[in-house]
Amino acid sequence: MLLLIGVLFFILLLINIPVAFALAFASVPVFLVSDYMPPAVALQRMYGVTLSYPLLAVPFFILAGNLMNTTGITERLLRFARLLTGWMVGGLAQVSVVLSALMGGISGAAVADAAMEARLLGPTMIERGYSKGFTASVIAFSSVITATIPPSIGLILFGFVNEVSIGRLLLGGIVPGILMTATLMTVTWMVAKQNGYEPELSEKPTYKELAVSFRECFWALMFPVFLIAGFRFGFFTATEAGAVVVAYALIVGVFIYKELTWKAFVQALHYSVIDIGMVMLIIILSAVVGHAFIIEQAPQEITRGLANFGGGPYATLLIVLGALFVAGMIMEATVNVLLLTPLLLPALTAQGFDPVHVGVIMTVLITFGGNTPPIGVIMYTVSGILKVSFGQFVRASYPFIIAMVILFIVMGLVPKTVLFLPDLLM
Amino acid sequence: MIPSLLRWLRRIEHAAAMSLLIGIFALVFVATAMRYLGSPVIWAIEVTQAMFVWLCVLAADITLQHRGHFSVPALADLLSPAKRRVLEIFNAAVVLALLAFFVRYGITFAELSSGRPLPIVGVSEGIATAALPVGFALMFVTVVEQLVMRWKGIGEQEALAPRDVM
Repeated sequence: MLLLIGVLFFILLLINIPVAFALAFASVPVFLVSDYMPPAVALQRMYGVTLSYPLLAVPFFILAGNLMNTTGITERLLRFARLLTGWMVGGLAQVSVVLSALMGGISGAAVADAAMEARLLGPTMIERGYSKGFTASVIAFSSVITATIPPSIGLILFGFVNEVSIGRLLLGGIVPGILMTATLMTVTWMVAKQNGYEPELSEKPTYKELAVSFRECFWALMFPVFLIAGFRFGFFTATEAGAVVVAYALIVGVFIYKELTWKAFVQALHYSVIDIGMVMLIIILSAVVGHAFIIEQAPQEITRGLANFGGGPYATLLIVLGALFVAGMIMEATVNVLLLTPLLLPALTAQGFDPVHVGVIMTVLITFGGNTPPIGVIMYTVSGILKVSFGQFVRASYPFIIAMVILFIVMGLVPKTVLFLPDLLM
Repeated sequence: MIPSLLRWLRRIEHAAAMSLLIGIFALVFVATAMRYLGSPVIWAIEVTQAMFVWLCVLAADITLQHRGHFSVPALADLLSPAKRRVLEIFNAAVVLALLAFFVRYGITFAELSSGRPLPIVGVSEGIATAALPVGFALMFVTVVEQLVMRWKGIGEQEALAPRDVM
């Protein structure tokens, strides 16, 4: 039965049926043959999803992200990032990495960040002589940082579907986000050195310049601190945090930077509705498939299979991460989080792994899958905006992929890299 | 006649979805603030949940109108225009069958649940669960409209650039 669902799903996907409908259609046979699943149960499952209060954080963070892009916060962060790293070799590429890390504190979506940077930085980089492939890949890979530093929509979804503490997951994303920034900056430095990419600024900025720019972005940079303090002291839940972020974006946009117009506000609402429609339909319809998986006892089967396979916990972890890497190449990220992580996480926790530790790694790895061909939404987005061929993108992406794989292995072997902050603060 | 009716329907849907999003935000924000002021708004969660299910289905339909749902067009793009048209009609039929199934059992589900009142507000739960059959019916209308447009070869809409929220 599970095989039938899988085969049907892939056939429907390949003939260009939207992924949400393909998922739902593939699970229809379960309802038709099984005696204990009347079709109305499928609808009840869908409705059940919308009763999940934590899930409301998702539309809020989507709205907040779209608002931030219209409030003038992005341009201020760009100026700050330029001062911080523009003087290094490969200046603009470093700016792109650091900007993703800074944006990570207010936005939870990698694709939105990649699209924004491709428009804002991409054309200038190509003009200054950076190769098109390198420009596209540095922007695409660094956007994964945005999805790691809180707020992170991927981690919220992971917490929702696997019933893991969202607060701990979000805190757990911080150190990996910082490590990823350092890793990508190192790779960028090496590639820039080799290709003779010049610094963007002729000299290091003065402290005064940095201080002025820091003050300009103060409200954006303080946001993650505010968010973490909120979780730490239990001031708010993820959902409430989402609502607070929206209010924060509105206040900063209207009263502090004074750049949010009515027209821009309506535009942000419009984009948010489209984003929410896309992701919520996937979430609602994958609940039906998820229910079929549980009826068919798929998680138990996989846990047993992996335990019997032997080799100990780290071999299991390696297999799971390898499977997710392949899944990331062929499937879209939200579907991977919603369908695959509930199947694979029990096998890891049964072998003694902390769900927050492996949860952060799995979610980041899945987001990273947006950059690996043949199907990668981040890759499509950036290549589309910059008119780069997939071949050029893939050739330039090897150093980044190798460095990221090493980082994933380190994170897997050293749980403290993820758990340090959640253990310290919660 | 039908096109102008559809246009009105779309306008109402769009306005409703945006208002629901703002409404849910305002309600959760006020409820959070009130919790701190010592007088929690106990009905807020129930009302937000009922609004959320409506937001989800309306937004899903609006995204469908913009062809914004994630799909993999790589293989279909390899086909000749004539063959692709056949495939598109086939795909629309598959989706329509699925949506009809959901509308049919969505009505059953909404009827079953309409007897239950929401625990705090006391209104019938049907006010929330009706969103599912209505939403899927709206999506059904959208797919039929896109199919008719495709058949006539007019108003061919470019798919939205792939978006993802993660």
